[in-house]
Amino acid sequence: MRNRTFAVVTFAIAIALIAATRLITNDYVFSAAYTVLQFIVLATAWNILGGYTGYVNFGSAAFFAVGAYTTVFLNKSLHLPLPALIATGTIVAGLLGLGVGYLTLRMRGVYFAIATLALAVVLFTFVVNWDYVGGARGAYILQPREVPFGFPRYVHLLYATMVLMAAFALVVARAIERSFIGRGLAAIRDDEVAAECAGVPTLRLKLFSATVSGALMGMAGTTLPLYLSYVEPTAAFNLSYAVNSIAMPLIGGMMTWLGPLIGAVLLGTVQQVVQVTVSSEWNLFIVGVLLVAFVTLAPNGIMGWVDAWRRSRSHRP
Amino acid sequence: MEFPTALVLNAIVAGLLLGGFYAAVSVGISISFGMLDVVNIAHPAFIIVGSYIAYIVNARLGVDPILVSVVLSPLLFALGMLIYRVYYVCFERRGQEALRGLAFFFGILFITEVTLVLIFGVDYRLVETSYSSVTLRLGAIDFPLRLVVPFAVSIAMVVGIQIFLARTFFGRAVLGVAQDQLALRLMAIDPVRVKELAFALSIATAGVAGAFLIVIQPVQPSIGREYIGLVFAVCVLGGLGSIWGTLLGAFILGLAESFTSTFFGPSWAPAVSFGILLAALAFRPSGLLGR
Amino acid sequence: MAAEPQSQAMSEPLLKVTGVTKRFGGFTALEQVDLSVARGERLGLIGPNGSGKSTLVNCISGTLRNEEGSIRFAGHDLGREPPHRRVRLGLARSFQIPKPFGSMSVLDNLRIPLLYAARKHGKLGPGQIVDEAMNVLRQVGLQDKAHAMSGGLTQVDMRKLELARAVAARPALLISDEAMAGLSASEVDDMLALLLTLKERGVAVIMIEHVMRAVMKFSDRIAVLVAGRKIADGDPQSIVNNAEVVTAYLGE
Repeated sequence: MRNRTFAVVTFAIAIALIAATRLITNDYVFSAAYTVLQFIVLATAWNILGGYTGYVNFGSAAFFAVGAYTTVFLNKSLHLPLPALIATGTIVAGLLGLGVGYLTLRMRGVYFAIATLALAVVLFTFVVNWDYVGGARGAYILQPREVPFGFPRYVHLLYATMVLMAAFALVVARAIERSFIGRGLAAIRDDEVAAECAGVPTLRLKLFSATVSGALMGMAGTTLPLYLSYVEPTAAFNLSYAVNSIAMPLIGGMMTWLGPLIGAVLLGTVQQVVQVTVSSEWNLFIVGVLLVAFVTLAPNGIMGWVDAWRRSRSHRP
Repeated sequence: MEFPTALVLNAIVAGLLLGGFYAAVSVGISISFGMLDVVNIAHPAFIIVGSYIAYIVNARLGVDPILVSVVLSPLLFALGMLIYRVYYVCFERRGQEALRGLAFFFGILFITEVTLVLIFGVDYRLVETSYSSVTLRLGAIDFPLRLVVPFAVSIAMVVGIQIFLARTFFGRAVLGVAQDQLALRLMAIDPVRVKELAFALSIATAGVAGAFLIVIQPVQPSIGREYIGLVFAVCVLGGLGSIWGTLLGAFILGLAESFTSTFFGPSWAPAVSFGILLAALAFRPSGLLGR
Repeated sequence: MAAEPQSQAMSEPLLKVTGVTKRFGGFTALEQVDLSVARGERLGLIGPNGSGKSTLVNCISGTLRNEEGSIRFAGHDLGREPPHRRVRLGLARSFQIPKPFGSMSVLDNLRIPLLYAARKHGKLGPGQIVDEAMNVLRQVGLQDKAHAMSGGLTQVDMRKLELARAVAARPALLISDEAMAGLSASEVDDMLALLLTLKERGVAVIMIEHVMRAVMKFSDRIAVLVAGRKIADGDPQSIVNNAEVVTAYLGE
């Protein structure tokens, strides 16, 4: 399927999902769907640098929070409309990815991973001490009173935005994966030195990957403050974002765009159920156990099983 | 304004005392990452586990927490051996340690934290020892024993490990495995076994350091994550694979944090260690005394 | 990086290594090594284990940086150029221990150099890439395994893939790093045949080997590296008769 066709199909499904909101009256379903969609974006974004390129990012929360806090900052200072907020947050997060990448991607992947952990804490400390965006107490955001596009409530608009973001992330990821850039990233992942000696401009591609990945993660965070009407550092930098953005692609399968989608939908739904029926701590516990179980026993994830099954059945010449 | 001598002196002393403790906390990473090339980012989780073990025994039996941790260190040693076995079989042998090994340890870190929350909740726990509230005074400088005692034992442990590695046969095997596994095999030493035991040692040190931690400050499960940056900052700054480097890096970090805390407020302290780590990675990744 | 005027480029050798020195801490791996390779020339590079052959290859290909000396290729001073730029200039290498792109099929392994290194010869369309890749695979005898996963190949096939990947980059100079180590006699002949065909296309080759009969058969010229220094450089017969070389090898 060509990229253009895929994009059309994906956005058609997105529109359908948005139209379906008219039929849903249960607020909880919205909240659950919003969360799962958010994870689709995060998992897909993470996988561009993690699964495609082989560089683990432990600081997804940092990029996500940067998106959120850019919204807070701009909303408070300039009262920008929603599209501008989203665009700016995405760009800022992308620049952060580029910057961190430039400093650390020239070394081993291990150092990059540790640096991303460090980044999350540094940014967290910075935000906690920055009173303009609320510091530790948090900041309140007022949702606009008028809701454009005829949605009954503002929350519905945000949900629609998240659906479009998820579609956008998937289209971007798939386009990258199938392009020559995607092949170059896979070569870097498989053997960076060999890739470099085969003509792949590894640093440039890694920086590209880090920038796109960071940008999309930030994009996911831009609407959070409006959605919650309130944001504070521990929520924005929540560890669950970091763990989930790793666990979901791992469980779904890191080699392809479909993996993070499957992982996000499955794991996201499981978490929603557990959270409601048991507790949020058990929820995190289960995610952690699944992460370790999959990484030790089924490192190629669900898509890996599918691929292996397909290959064992094919009779290629 | 007159020069705040007392403040500065106290900051220096606190920084050095803290530095000694940081060395104990980080020496395990110096071994597992610096010498064995295992990126055990779950290391801080074992520190916290050590803290809680010390806490429980102290609360039930009133025994000094540091004593407890030393006596019970074989437990964590065994746990370390188990974890390395899994790591080796699943990742190192298959050459997957870069991506998957990292995710594995991250998962362990996470599970440990959440398990502790499930068992103990998020409240801070602390211990009471005979010296918890005793502070020696030398002129204008305070020497709180709750910092001094862990400092002394930390230094003893770190120096002890350095001597162990440099002088004993096993210790030299560990240093050898970092540089030339083939040579070890030719001497009929199984490098995997050496690494397993060395890794177990690193986890054991984490457990003992955990007892130091809970003597110094109250502990709750999520503190572990703050220490990730710290331990790696100490080891990267000091130079991977060098215990003396770890000591040096620890003192530098302790002083930096102490001064930041004193003059800018404690809420900036976490940023110091991670900031130093980022700077070290960006500008001098081989460290000050690195191999 | 400006190219030299045409006349100078014609008379200058394709590869010119001058006074290259490489140290690792206190250990000097290469000491003032000079080497040159003309277009289409076949140079054998031999020396005992640890003499610095692979280090020299790494310096030439750019995966290591030499402390002293210069490396000129096709009229350009390579300076601090990263490996991928050197490949694009036409300098390809294979690895002593094969480094396949394990998640890809054999064919897809070749797409990488075709997409990235060979671009200077004109961008290839998708159909052309497959054709070109199959072409190269036929040359190494791997055409039947085009869709097999590269991670599961035999040692010999992996070596062939290594070479194929280097050839696919359409180099002007190909460095083959111990491609024949541990192979059987007939396998050595296969590899040799492949390397010989490169000459027909005007590709210069530096062959690093311990298998002396292959080196003797293949090389126009042989250079000998011992303990980081070049101790001999000349036609195969004079090298074989060189007392110093024989001593250095002592029974190899």
